[in-house]
Amino acid sequence: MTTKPPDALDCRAVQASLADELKTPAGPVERHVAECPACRAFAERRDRAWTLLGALEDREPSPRFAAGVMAKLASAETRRRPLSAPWLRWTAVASAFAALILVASIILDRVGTDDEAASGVVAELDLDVLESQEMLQHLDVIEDLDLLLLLDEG
Amino acid sequence: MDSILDPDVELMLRVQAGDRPAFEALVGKYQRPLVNLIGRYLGAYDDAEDLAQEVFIRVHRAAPRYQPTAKFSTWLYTIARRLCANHARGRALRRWFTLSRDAADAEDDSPDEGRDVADPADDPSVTAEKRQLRRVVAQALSALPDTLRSAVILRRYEELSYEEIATIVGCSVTAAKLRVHRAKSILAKRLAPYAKDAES
Ligand SMILES: [Zn+2]
Repeated sequence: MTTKPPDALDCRAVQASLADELKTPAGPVERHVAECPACRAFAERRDRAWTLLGALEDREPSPRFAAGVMAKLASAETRRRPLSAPWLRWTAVASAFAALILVASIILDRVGTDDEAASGVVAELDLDVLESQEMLQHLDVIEDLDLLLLLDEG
Repeated sequence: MDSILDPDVELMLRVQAGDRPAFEALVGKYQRPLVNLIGRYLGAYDDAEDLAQEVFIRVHRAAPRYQPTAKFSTWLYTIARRLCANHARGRALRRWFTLSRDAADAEDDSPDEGRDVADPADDPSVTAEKRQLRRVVAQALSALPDTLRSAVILRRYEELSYEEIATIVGCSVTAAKLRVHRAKSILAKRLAPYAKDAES
């Protein structure tokens, strides 16, 4: 359904600035919304979603939570005490090195056997990549960045 | 910043001086917000308590280097956010190893989306309808990209200012506003079919 806006303001700009986090002082935007069904519906949809998030109420942590922190703290403090004998330190370094080689060989092995798929998965491990892929799926609802920045400065 | 304005900064400075009861006081005060923050972020409470405890361990470890430049809660949530991001990264890595070994094994290490945040088992008084709504909301949050998710959770549930959110997630104030705005747009779309329940 398309309803012709009652004034010259662009619906998209109005909807972007309607967000309470970007709201400008009462003025043409509020007047527009009062008369434009599309923008009013948009604003109401957002408000309802915000209210719905309240369904995820606070939960009580377990009664053992604080005791658990103190127990972890105690064991962390024991762990962090430096190894006394020098030969123990060398053993630790050696086993860390061995573990590193093992992990590297596993990764190389996987990339080597199934290179196309594996390197694709490796790329996916980059969270930025993951995020931008997800952002692409939401492009239809993500408003123009420049427009919002402009409104924000206003 | 003036530590007199924030009693928790005062407590943290006592922790720095080796005061154990001050540390316990901070744990007591922040355990609930922290567990809920992390639970909502991860989309699951099973790892949330463990991770929240780990945050406090980091706080204690960082105490000697602590400098009161912001509210204590801002500093605490910054540590929590980093730990959550690392946790998610670790999970992605584990998932990759599992997937490449045997796709069928991936079941036991399922991603956020499938988890039920508000475990219905512990609250028999809650109606099925309400449980369903919790699950839907948890899934909608979990499906948000990481940066949008943390911003919207800090805003909606912790009611933080955009300045605080910006500090915690490491972006400008404008970017923090945009992230909340985008998250809200996505959630409005995802939750539209359930929006009837929100009308009162
Ligand atoms: Zn309009």
